[in-house]
Amino acid sequence: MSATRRAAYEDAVLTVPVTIPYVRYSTHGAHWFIASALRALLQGGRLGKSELDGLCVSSFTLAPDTAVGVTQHLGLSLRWLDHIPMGGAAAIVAVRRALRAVQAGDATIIACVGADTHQVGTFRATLGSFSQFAQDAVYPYGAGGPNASFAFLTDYYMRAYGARREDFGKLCIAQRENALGFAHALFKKPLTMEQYLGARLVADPLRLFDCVMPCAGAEAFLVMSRRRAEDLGLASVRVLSTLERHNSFPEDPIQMRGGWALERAELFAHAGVSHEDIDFLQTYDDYPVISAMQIEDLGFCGKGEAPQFIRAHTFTTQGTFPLNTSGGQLSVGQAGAAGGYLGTTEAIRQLTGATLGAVVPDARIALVSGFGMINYDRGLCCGAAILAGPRA
Amino acid sequence: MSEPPVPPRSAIALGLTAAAAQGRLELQVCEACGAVQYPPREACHRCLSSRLQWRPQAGAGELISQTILHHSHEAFFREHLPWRLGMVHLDCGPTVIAHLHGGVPPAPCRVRITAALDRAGQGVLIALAQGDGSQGDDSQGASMTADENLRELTAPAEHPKVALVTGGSSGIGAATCRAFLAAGYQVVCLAREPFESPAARVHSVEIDLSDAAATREAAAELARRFPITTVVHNAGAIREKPIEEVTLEDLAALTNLHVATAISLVQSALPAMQERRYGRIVLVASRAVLGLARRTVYSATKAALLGLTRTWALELGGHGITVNAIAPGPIEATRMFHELIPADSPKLARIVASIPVGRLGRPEDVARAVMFLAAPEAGFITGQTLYVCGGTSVGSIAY
Repeated sequence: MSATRRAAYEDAVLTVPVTIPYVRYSTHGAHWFIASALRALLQGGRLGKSELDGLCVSSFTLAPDTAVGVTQHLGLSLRWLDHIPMGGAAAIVAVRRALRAVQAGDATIIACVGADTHQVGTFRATLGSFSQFAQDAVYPYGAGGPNASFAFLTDYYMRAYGARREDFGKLCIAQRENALGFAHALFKKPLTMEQYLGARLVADPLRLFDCVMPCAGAEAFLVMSRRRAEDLGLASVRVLSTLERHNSFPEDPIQMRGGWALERAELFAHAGVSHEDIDFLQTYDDYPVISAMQIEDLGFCGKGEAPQFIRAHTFTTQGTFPLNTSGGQLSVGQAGAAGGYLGTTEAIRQLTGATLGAVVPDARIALVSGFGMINYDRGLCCGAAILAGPRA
Repeated sequence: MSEPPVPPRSAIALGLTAAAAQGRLELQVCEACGAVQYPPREACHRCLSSRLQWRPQAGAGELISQTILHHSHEAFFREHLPWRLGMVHLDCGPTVIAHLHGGVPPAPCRVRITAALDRAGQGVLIALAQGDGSQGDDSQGASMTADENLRELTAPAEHPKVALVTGGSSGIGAATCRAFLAAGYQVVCLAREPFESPAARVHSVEIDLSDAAATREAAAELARRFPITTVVHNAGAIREKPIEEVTLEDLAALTNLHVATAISLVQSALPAMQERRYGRIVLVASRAVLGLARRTVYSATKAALLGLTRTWALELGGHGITVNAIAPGPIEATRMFHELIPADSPKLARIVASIPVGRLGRPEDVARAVMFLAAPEAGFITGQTLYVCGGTSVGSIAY
């Protein structure tokens, strides 16, 4: 942990949350979704294309291009460019990079975009070439993809901490309820515990509703100075603090904790808020076990206590612990790298009173968490950000 | 059956495969700090040294987590679902993902990691049950055969390519032997004379196939020595005569040569084919089964092969064995043909004129059809007769 106190994020803000509606499959390429997100950002920000001078892209299906190819593809002339291949942690890391760039004056308006297409075969292709370790030591073993990886973590977690299927089901069902008012969610019917428990097995002990559904879509937002946002008449949120940690606890034989556990004390101290100040939490939720781990490692309960925490709380927007308030990826869908952005765009909307679906009453401060990149046996990238809206 | 996925693997990972090919589990060990690591890396994850060596490992460890896949992104695994996998924390340090043998109890428990080659020739890790350590290491091979999924994962991808060909010393038989050699087969040739070839993959047996007892003995001996997956019975003789001159000795000789030989060869090769659940049988009959003057015994005994073909197709289809016949028309450059039809004779010209494609067949034309029916991919064709005859089996009227 850093001994010297980090600079505050002061003047830079997040604004104009954008969602390009998800579809199960698309014949468009990733560039189409990035372009759609940029059009929506410029329209929402009342900006001309030439006013955008920074871009940060995350996408799994952009190959052989990176953010570099996007500039020429879309005719963008930029002074600041970043490509963040960190999946579920991409939005948090993008926030950290973009805030500092705006704060330091390297760029004035940065578009942060997570976008992916989903075509027949693209998901399998992504899995088969995901990482060197995946090629050498994971994919040849059943080619189960992230379902298998999270099945291992869930199996171990259940035995180690006495979690029951019903505990994970409670999170999934509450998120589905949150999603029912969110027009972009691909799942539109309520989920019952009976349906959750009786769904078909995917990778024991995971069943269908434990697993995100891959789809196509985009999530994006703008980063600019607070003054610029005010001049443009845009509602925005401040960032009180962030954390980022990669390959934490490499000696653990199996991942039961993430980098949040190393950084959370500094995160809250730097933000100047406590856990009681957090009005809602957005976890990275491709599988419920990882939501439980984030609740623990971010300090809302002790290690191994998430099952009891889940039994003691309710997680809808009106509940005692609002979680993944637009439904999370488990009910909205996982549009590739946009999945890492979903919690951030939803948090900006909730805090600025621009919610599309179910509302968390009088929400002032949110914690958004990111988790990504199962390189071999565990997710390597962890991130989190504490956001404050105008009411804070 | 689909092959296990062969994504490009890193060059460094070949160390695991190289050891697995010799039945050993080896992992990278850092010569500088002693760390054992997996997955394979270009440098030590602990001290960054590049002085890494592949070293044999005991493979003992604890199964700390498991799953049973009911869904896979690859066809091979989909065909074998549900598929059991585990995460094993090795006593020497790393955690590995491994296939779980059926004998491994639910996690947590002690296991032993072994390395084997999958059907695609890549090294893979397999966790076997390990009791209290008092049991001797049962051989990996014995354990694999007890788990059907792992047996299929680690079985050689292809059936042994061993073809037995009769009458292979000349003509159609020789062309067939050459085609099998070109396709990578080992060839066992039974004929009156040896099949002349410099290839080491040829085993020639000189035999008179009209001697039923000798043929039966040879067939049994060859089945013991070679993993025969493919039988091509091509040897034949004509004994051209009008019906008035045919003897029962002619009938006995050609019945032995054409029919008894087929029965003896197939009976001896059959047990191994059935055990492998794979076999290809091709019987070379003749267009003359449709009728040809002065071929009483020849056409009758060649026609008998069509009966064998259709009957065996029904009996053996369930064992992965296909049985088909080929019926060649007039084929030049064969001893059989030119003993009856002199080159440059008016008779030859008349025959050619009567063939719809306007030429005589060549031995390679027939060999191509044999290879088609003998191919592993031809598993949905059985009980059929394929005429390779330039159109001479098509009865029509000359306008």
